Amino acid sequence: MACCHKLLAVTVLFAALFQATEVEGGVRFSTLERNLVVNAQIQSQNVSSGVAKVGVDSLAVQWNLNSSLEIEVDSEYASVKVKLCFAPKSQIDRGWRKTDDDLQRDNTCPKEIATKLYRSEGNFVVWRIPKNVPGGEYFVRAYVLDTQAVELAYGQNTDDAKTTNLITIIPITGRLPSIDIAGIVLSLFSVVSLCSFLLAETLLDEKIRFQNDLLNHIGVIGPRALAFAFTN
Amino acid sequence: MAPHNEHQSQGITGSPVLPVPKDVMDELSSAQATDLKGRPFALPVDSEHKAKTLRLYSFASPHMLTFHLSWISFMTCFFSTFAPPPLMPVIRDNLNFTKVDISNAAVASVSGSIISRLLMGTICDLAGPRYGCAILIMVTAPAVFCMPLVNSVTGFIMVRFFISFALATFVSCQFWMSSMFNSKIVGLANGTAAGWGNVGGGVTQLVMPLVFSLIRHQFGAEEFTAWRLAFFLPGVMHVVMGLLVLTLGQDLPDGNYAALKRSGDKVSDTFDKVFWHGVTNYRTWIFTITYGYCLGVELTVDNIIAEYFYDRFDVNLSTAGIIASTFGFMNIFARPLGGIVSDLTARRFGMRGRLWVLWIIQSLGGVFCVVLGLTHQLTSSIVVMLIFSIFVQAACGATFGVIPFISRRSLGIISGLIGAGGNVGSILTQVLFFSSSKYSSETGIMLMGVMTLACTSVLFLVYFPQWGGMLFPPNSKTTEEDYYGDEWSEEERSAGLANASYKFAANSRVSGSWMIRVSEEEFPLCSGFVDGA
Repeated sequence: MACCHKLLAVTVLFAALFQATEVEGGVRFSTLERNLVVNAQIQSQNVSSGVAKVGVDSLAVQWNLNSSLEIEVDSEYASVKVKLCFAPKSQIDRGWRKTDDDLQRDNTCPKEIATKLYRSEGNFVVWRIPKNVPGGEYFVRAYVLDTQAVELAYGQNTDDAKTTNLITIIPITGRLPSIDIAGIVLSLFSVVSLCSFLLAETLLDEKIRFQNDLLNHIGVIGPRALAFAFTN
Repeated sequence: MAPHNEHQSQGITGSPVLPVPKDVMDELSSAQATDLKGRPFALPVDSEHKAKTLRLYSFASPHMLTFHLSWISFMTCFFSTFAPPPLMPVIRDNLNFTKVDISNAAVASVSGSIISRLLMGTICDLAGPRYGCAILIMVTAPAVFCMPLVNSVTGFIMVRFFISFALATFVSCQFWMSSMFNSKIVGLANGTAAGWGNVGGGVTQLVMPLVFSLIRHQFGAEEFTAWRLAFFLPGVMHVVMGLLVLTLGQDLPDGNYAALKRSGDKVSDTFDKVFWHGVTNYRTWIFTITYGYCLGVELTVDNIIAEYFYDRFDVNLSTAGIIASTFGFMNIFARPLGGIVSDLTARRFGMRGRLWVLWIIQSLGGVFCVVLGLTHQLTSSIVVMLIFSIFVQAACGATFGVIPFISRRSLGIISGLIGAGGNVGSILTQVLFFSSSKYSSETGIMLMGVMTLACTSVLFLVYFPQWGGMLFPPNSKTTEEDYYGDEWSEEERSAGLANASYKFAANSRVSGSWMIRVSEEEFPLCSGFVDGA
């Protein structure tokens, strides 16, 4: 009986430990209304889609409430978070960038462009693309949040299929000439010091062998021979 | 004057080449054993000047210094081979990887060592373990320094492939241990060195993200530059360890190979006979498969686990690294523990006990792997991963409790093949379950566990006529001498070539113990291969 109780306790413990705990799910994207109109341009080129370079180009983003909406929807709108999001082409075969309807698990939008208080119009931000943005195709999305930071609505500069107005961003390589030089120098040091060591030890070995051969040739007076010599 | 035909050298020693009369030599050998410089050895030694104890806290030359140089070099190589995985979230963005690219690189990172491990044995035999280790570690240093320069997928895969050649330092490590430590203690020395070397896979998961973090925040470098700079750490470690091994290391207790005169009474075997007896023994292949699912699983997990925690549980890079490193750190005690458990079981139940213990430990490893894939919660995942790591690594240790008994003649080749099998298992697993977007990482881990259970069950097929198998008792007519003697032909046996094998057969009957190993004089050709990583 005691062992049955222990077994039950262990089973319950394991069950509790491995139970799939439901994480508090976030808002589902499919429930959000597209109430904002968002426009994004590569500032220097004044185009809505094109090629931008990190660290050099900036994105000019503007957003406002869709004026054609009839009912008043923005009574709870508190702030707006504007994000840079991956286009589908940059998500293929990259599970860590997957789109998930649950916004807490969604990885579509890695970079935040700006967070501003909500205003129905006159919103504008210029964002210099930082150097840690990976290369790929992007679009811009803005989420409207309430005072509890829960998403209420959104807007994006592309269509629902995410095929238009995509911006291609060219990243930095991360390589610097100093890194290249240091790498080459240290590699050479490794190989050269190894070869020097091997050479030095081979030469030393040859020297000792030569000396031994010499001594063998001449003949060494061993201790016994010495003793013999002394006693006789 | 000097009697040229009375050159005396006791086995492989560093004794002077000068001709010395035999009775004078005998007088010298009975005096206290001294090292090259005439000082007494810090540890008690046997007649070959191999240490009889292992003092882990000591750095005394030559035995303990060799031990520490050996395991630290091996750990450095594991460190650099598995340095990219914890930084993968940054590297994959910098070089625009897809999942297939990452998996190909991971496969490359365990492929190179297959070739190099097979070659390293010969190099150690010819040039000595000191040169073998130092040459390998310093020649792979440029490969590590190439990592900061990589700009494309192909480049990354090539660099990981070449860095993985360094894992052959395990062979030189084991060879060196066997040259320095007496047969009674060499098993423990080998197992500890192998386990502590494998810890490099854990240390790197912890240290690389921290170094990356330091470079980013303290020096203000961009992410895509910081990870490149972080790779200078393993590169410099390679160079430093290589130089230390060259300057402080010593091949044998009495000196280096170059200074030695090999004695003429070493039994030399032919490669093709040794190879033939190794590959035609079916047990070699069974253990190649099973080792592929203990070491192979360990190598695979080293490659994927940091990214798994980063992506699945949304922890930051450093946290993912810390969690992933605990997997590798279990090696500190788990691997030697596996060998010790195998040994203790053998005292009571002999070889049958060893096989059962190995099957149980490795199967439990498979079970916990399946559970890990099914666990959705962070804390539970970490707990399961720790339990899983203990079983997997203990299985590696327990495998090498059996391997020395498979064959005496071909021990080196068999150990090399089985070790390579570990890498092949890792390649197979990564290609099957982690290369495409078909399976998510958690499904891949679960399937890896299922495959472990399936492949471990081939252990039931192992049968030693003199000891039995898992399900069948021994054949009472076959003795150990028959089993080991059968590897030699009639002519070879009558020529006395099999004497070393017979000696081992007698020893194996006495205890069948993991701790008892053949010393160099009994099997000089491949004496280095008695335990592995």
